[in-house]
Amino acid sequence: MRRLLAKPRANTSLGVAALAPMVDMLTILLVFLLKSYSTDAPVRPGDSSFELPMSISEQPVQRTLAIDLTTHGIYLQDQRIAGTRYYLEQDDTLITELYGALQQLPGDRVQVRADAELPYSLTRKALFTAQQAGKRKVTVVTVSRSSL
Amino acid sequence: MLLLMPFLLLTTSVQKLSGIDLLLAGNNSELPPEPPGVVEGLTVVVHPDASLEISAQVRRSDVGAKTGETEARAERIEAQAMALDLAALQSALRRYKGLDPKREQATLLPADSLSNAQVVNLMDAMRRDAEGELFPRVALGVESAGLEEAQP
Repeated sequence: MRRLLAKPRANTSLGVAALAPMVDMLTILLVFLLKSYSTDAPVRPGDSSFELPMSISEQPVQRTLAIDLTTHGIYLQDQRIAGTRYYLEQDDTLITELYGALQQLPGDRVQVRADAELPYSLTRKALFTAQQAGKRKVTVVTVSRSSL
Repeated sequence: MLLLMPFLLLTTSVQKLSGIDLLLAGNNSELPPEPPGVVEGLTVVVHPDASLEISAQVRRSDVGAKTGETEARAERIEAQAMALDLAALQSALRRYKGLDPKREQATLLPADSLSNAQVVNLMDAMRRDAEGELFPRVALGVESAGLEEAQP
């Protein structure tokens, strides 16, 4: 009878002993998640080939006009403006379709989200076009190296 | 904690986005002025063969030398196994930073054939090295430097 009464007590002590390392692990995981917590929406979720360059920068990105440069096309606010191949092959520095669209939009801040593997020539043309359209504050969007 | 953990695991994103504010260097744009110092201009040109050329306008070492009285210094860093030698670039930039610690701006003129990832790596290398900050404000050349034609 005494044994039967003592059994639950032994189990409780064992349970408490096993709980301590689990709480430790959860605490470590919680600190890690809080440190790397990000609610940034994925950029171009429908395009699996699109990948942003990685950077050591930790500067947060503000929501502004977004120019996307992908292997499929040039997009402004997720709307296709022009083809990529044409402007990669052309010597023109100004992307005329993008210039026209940017001029109609207010504000002087714009962010460029360019695929990591695209040649810089296209980015240079997009930056030049944004500058000519009066968008003086340009931010290049990257993926932070501290990402999960 | 048991409530917070599932919430964090469900809402966190694997990608943490960051931004690099650019200064755009071109014929029609003016870059913000730098505090007066020994280094009055610093440009890194990247050639299509991944070699780097650093050119600087450094104030002459005469005792009476004034602002604008500079001498041009140029340095070429060859590519290492067809890749950019970022360590050598940072070492050279660290020397210029030592000459003029207040200077924060440098200009980067990448070749058109480089990928965006390489350009971002170059900008990162110019902004900071293992010892600390180098030139955090990188001005990016947005007009064709004609580098493709200049190569043999």
